[in-house]
Amino acid sequence: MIQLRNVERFFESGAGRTYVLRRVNLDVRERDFLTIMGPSGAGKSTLLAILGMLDGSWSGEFEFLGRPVHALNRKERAELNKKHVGFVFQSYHLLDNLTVYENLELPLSYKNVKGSDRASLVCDALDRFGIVGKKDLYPSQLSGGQQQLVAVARALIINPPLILADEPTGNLHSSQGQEIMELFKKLNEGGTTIIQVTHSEANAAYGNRIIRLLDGWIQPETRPQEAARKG
Amino acid sequence: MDHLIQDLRYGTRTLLKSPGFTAVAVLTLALGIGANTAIFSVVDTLLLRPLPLKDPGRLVLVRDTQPGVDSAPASYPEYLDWKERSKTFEALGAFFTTTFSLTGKGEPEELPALRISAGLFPMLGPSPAQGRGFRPEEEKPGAERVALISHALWQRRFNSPSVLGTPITLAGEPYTVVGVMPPGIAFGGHPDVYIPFRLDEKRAPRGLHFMTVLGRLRSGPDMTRARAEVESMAARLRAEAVTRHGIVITPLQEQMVGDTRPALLVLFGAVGLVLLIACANVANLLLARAASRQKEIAIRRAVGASRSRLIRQLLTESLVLSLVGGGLGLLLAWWGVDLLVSAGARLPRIEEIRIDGTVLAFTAGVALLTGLLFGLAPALQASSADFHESLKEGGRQTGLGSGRQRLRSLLVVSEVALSLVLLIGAGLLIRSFVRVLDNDMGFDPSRVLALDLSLPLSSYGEPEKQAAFFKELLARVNRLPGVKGAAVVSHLPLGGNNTNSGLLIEGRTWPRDELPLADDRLVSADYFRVLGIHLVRGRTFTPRDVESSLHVAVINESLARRFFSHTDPIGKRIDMQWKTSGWQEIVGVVGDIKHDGLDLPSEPAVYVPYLQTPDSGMTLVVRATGDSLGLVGAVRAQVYGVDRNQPVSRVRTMEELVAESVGPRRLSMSLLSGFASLALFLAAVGIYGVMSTSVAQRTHEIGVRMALGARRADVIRLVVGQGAKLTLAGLGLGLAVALPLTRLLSVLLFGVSATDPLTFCGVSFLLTVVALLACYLPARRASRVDPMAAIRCE
Repeated sequence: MIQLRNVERFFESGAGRTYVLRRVNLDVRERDFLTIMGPSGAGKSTLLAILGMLDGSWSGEFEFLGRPVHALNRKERAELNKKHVGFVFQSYHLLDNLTVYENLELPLSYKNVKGSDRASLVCDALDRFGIVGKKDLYPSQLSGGQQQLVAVARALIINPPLILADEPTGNLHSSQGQEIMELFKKLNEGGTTIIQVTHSEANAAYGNRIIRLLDGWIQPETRPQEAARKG
Repeated sequence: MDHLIQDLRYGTRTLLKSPGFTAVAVLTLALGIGANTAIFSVVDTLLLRPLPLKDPGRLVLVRDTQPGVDSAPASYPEYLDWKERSKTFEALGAFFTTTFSLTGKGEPEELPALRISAGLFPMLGPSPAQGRGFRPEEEKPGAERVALISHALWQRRFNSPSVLGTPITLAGEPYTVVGVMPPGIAFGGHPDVYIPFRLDEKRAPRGLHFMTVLGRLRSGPDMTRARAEVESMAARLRAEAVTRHGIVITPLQEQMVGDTRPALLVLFGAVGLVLLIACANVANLLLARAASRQKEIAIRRAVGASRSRLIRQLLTESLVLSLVGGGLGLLLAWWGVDLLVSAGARLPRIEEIRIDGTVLAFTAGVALLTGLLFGLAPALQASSADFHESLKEGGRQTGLGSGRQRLRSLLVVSEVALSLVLLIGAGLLIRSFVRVLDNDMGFDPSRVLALDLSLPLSSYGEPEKQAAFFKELLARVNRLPGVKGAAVVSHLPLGGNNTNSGLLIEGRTWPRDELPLADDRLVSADYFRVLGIHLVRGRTFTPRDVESSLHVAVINESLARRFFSHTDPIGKRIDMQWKTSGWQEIVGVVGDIKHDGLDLPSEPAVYVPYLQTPDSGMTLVVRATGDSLGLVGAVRAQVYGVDRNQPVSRVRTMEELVAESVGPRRLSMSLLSGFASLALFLAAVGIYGVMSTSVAQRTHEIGVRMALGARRADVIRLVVGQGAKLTLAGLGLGLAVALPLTRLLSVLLFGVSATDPLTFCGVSFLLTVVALLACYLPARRASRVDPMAAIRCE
């Protein structure tokens, strides 16, 4: 599904280039549940942003579902993102001014889905995530867990083959976090590819692959069991 | 459509969530759009909308021209020549203004009236709402006396649903009402009565220019062709030695707009600039707001919004703002138009000024354009931000990128520049206005009351009777307590009336047709003393200057300068070619007065004693020792005491006339000053906004500086210095724009040059002070930053 070859990300500064990612080579297959780990500032979120085509300022080669992302322009990348990628963030990033219903509706509207189809898809999602009763509430009226649930529902509503999650449980109680991770696992078993960034070994254990980043370099890959043993 | 509704819904909700921002933006736009709508409604009526007459594009004003006089009213013989000879005109019509006293039924009333040719209304288009128009034979002397009355007079004076055939008494003569005109006739002022001409060439000689002649071009609205044709007709008339004069034609629409066109265009430009400043201000607010919306925009991008979709959404919000602002602006304009109409009593076609479909369409168009104008740059900026950074945990949320800050600074510089241009324009008009008021008008208007009296010829047909009436009236009024002096005059200064006649000077010859012209005035002996017109040499009139004594005249300095520059005029003899007959000896020279307007030059004038040449229509002027208006009742009683059927009309003070004569100038000055003040205020708000955001962004830096020993004054200097740089850049740009642009104002200026250094410097200073004050408030806030808190905050 994803192939990165010699991907580099750097900032020009007065003192020269500051590298965030160095010669990253990575393959992600469909149905993978990949965890990216590493200390703060290692480049995890940057890598996730590149994978999600939110960041366009990198060098190297990036193939996504057989399409060379490095050769696409901004608009074409945005189209790929819109069709195939769902995002889940640590701080949920729901829009405060929109109700739960409208937050869920947003990606569909950006995909130009017809009004009546939108309504039925949003209702399905509300039902599936058990948040029908919350549909007219604003994010500020929900608990953190509920907000993240809505955020996941929003990421999934376009039925993307790839979910990118940046510290999805970072702001949640452990029980709420567990609930979200179980949900991811279920989705993965249903065929969705998931790439998550996390500091938590326990969350990493839900996946089937782990890569570690250190100062922008990818370390040799481990499997979750080994990671758990090392932890 | 679905997306549009969604964007509108979200946009409206987003705006409602920030009521402070929304209120400021909507109000700013309402002021800008409102001012534009109000001025456009006047521009539309005066400059764009055709006159409400039949095929108005082919209607022209036809006037006489002669060496030294660009354009003058026509004489009756000229009108007849043009009518007979011209192939250029499909039809010609003429009129002149007069007044008639309506007596016999109810209170006597002096009515404004038009004497018209029978063909005038058929040519122009409006036909009587009731009854018929005039027949050609009714123009001839001796024909039956018939009258058309205005809709207003019918409503005011006649209770009956039909007045056709009703006999009325005008100027003591019996007339029959044959028709009622519809309301809203757009020429000749607001006459209440229309009477056919009934002229003969003996009473209206070629030298007497008093008629307004209108023509309908046969060829269509091509003025170049029409001008060539009338020029060839004039050449034929000259070749046949009928006249030595020429003919000049002007489109009627252009003539009616007259002097107001340049002022209107300047004001329209000014409100355009105000709107640009308002746009810059709202764009600035949006840019500041976009900083706090970075995260929202990033999320939208992350969940699939394309850049164009985001731009569309942000523009929809801008359009919601501008449409609400436009709606509110329309209400402001409604009120503004009422205010304009009540303040601009001398504007042409004023009764037609209103907010109609065209104005509404203009407002809607301006609102939409405005929304795009102020919304586009912020939308482009916001949608191009680095949204990955905004989504990072702990990423900066409130910062303005350097590009955005630069754009905001650029907007402020433009606002300062545009405000400077407007302020300089207003400054120049204010200085002109002061110069006009300072201009010596040649008489003292304070505490002087003026009343018009028009004696009906039926009772006062003989000159002796006219003289006797005014003589007795003056004697009575002079005896009233509180009266310092009273006099009568045929043409009141600044009263809007003037006539001139050919002037013969003994011992000099001019071709009959090229006699020099002089304004003619009939006055009573005390006139110069009552109005405070100073005597330069010789004497003024005395009660002994009567019909049987030596016929005398007093001339003004302009006439003395023009025709007696090398000789003493006293003792020389002149003959005015209309009212007077025979020679009058010049006995005195008086100072010039401003007769036609405070900003117009004085023309040569001849005064003759009314007792030697009486007339039926005179204006009584009374100088009071105290409040002149307090005398109205007593003076009126004296008029009725002399003749209880004699109406008094147009009671006003000379001070009112002075104020009225500078009315249009005062109006354009006040409006431009108002718009410039608004621009100054908006610019100050803009500078304040940018400096406030800048200070908020630099809190950490300021904290560090203070921790390192910067004093409060240093911080204030730092912030004010940044604002001062923007202001100076704006001033530089503004001066560069104003220098060529103020030349467009030249036609409105009086006694001050378009590049008046005092105005340029004074206004720049004022703007600098206001801008620095606007910077000072955020600077003071910055200087109160707690260094430790600021550092910890970061």
